[in-house]
Amino acid sequence: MEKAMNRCLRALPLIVLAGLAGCGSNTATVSGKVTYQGRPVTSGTVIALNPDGTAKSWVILPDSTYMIEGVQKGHVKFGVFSPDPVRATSILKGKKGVAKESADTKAAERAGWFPLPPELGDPEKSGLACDVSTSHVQYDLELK
Amino acid sequence: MFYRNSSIRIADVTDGTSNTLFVGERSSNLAYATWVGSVTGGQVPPKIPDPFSFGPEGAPILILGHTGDSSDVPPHTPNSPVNHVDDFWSYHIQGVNFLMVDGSVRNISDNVNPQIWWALGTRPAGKCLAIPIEVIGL
Repeated sequence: MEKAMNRCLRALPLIVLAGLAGCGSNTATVSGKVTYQGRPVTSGTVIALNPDGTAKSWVILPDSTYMIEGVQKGHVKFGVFSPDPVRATSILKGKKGVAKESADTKAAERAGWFPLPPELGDPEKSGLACDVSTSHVQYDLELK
Repeated sequence: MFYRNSSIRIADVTDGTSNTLFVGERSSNLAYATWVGSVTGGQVPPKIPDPFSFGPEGAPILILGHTGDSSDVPPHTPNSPVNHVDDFWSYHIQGVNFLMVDGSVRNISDNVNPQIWWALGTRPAGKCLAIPIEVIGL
């Protein structure tokens, strides 16, 4: 009995690991590049609207890539926001409200940034969507 | 709904009192903020470590919180790991409890669509998402 119990306990970590590896998981990681009319979008947020109406969101990196974990499998809609980097509170920017930013600092922060049409932020109106069926999906957000 | 000398009436909540946040949970995860009133000149430092270097907020944050808007990158939805001292957080799994303006209590999911989250913090949803109305934090 004790032996059987020990065997069971030894098997436990394996079961846990299998769970972590995403066996039969209903979620996926979606990643790709974000461009607007061919120009790279280098800051902002991507929202992934799940089939059940919940959402996941994460940042766009300076190299214009994004990666969102925990997206549900199924038909997922996307929205993209790219607020003015000077006004935005971004985890990539650090401390907000830094005392008296100079004109040079602001210009440097805005370098490469351009405003996006607001409707692209709404996953219901952006027209951006993809079918997520595997655990990692590459989906480039080519905004128009 | 709440700000200094607020005189908001129920009739002013044009998107519906059941769609607007009134009071929400905030836990000591983010800051040791007490509900003592807005002490003039006071500051609310974040709990250390402050991984994103957001720094302290002003005294109103002792009692007020907000949902933010699209200028928060990424959005500061309930229990988000990037939340700051002026955001909402609870120790509950998967959500934060809120009292709505109509008196009902709802659990707002961590996975709420950020656009709905921003709209919940406004009185006229969809009209001025960029101007969140602050609500009292517990």
